[in-house]
Amino acid sequence: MAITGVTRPGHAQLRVLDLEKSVDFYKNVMGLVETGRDAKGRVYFKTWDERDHNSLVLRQSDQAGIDHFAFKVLDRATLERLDSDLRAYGVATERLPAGEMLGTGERVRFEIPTGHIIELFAEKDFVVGRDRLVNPTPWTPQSEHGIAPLRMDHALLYGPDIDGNVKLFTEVLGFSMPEYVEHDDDGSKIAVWLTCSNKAHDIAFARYPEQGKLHHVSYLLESWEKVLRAGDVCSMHNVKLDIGPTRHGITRGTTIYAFDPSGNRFETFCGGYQCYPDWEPIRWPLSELGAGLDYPQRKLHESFLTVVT
Amino acid sequence: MLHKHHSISVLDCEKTFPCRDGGTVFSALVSSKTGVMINGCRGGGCGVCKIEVLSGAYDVDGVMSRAHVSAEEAAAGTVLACRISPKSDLVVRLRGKLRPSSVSH
Ligand code: FES
Ligand SMILES: [Fe+2]
Repeated sequence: MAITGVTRPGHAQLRVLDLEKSVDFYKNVMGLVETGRDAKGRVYFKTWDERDHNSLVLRQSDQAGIDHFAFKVLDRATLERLDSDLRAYGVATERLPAGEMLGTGERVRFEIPTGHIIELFAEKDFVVGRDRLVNPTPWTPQSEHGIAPLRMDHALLYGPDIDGNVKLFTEVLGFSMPEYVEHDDDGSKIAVWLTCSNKAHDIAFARYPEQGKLHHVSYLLESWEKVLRAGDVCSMHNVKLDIGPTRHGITRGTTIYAFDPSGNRFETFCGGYQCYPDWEPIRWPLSELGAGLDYPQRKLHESFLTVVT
Repeated sequence: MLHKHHSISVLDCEKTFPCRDGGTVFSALVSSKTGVMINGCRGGGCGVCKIEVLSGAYDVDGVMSRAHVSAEEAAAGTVLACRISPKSDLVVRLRGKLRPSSVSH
């Protein structure tokens, strides 16, 4: 399909309890590149291979969790159209001026039914060097430092009204739903995977009693071997793994979950399939969620449903 | 034992576990063997390891999310087990979630 409308995840802004400890973690364990600090004290990062100015923003706070998750839309006209579509649907939107975040154009901000703040923007500075655009090398010294993912890929967010989110994302923002988990007895949705592209997911939601919770922000790696290497890098820095290395049944990605120094979970993963918006969604009964989460072990790890920030 | 240890008595299950001097209380209580805590973020962010220290001395290492522990609670000994290490034997009560009994699947 042509990628139009909402094109991809743009950035996550996370709250951290100790800024410098977190900056050190994201630079040297995750292997991201620091691209700036703003007057509010926020620190900006991108992966070695990303072209946009930032995909992760850290903000010092007394609580962990996610401030907002943002998507890049095709152009300014798309941003205007989606803003008015959201309002017509009954969602209140707010504008943040260009430059409120470093290197980032005007943003449209709104709250979704699970209590998370989502933003849309059309413009972000390209900070890619000429050497990456003309006759580029396949890897660089930066791509070997720490985990060094290719890109920030998606997030899994927890909150009560995931049905409201599905309706909003599919009816207004043009997402489709490749996979979902439903309750065996009443068929209610427990978790949903949504895409605006032909990735198996650009964002996912799971039902949880509290509003606005972060389960994980996920980073894409090139191969299963790099997933294993990410596990090595974590161990070398005394970062205990939460789950994995293993493979999800849902989306089929190979994966590791672990936590940043504030307890915000991250994922480093590889693979998963490409899908198309006309496909019938894949259904997982809740009783098979263990296989959906950790296919080789068919294990529903307790922390998956309970540990969030 | 090679290292100096303190004992952590958990009132909820009437069991006592050894905790290495300098180790976190969380690391002593987490594991399927203790049956007290199963997993957590280990970073003071998720709140699953919340405990109330009824007696004993401890050091606080790192920040605890205010979403889970208020300043008043912290001053009165309600803390996150992943952010404290014992300086003496401790008696504690569990205040968080993610105990084996709370896992329903
Ligand atoms: S394990 Fe998450 S706050 Fe202690
Ligand atoms: Fe994920």
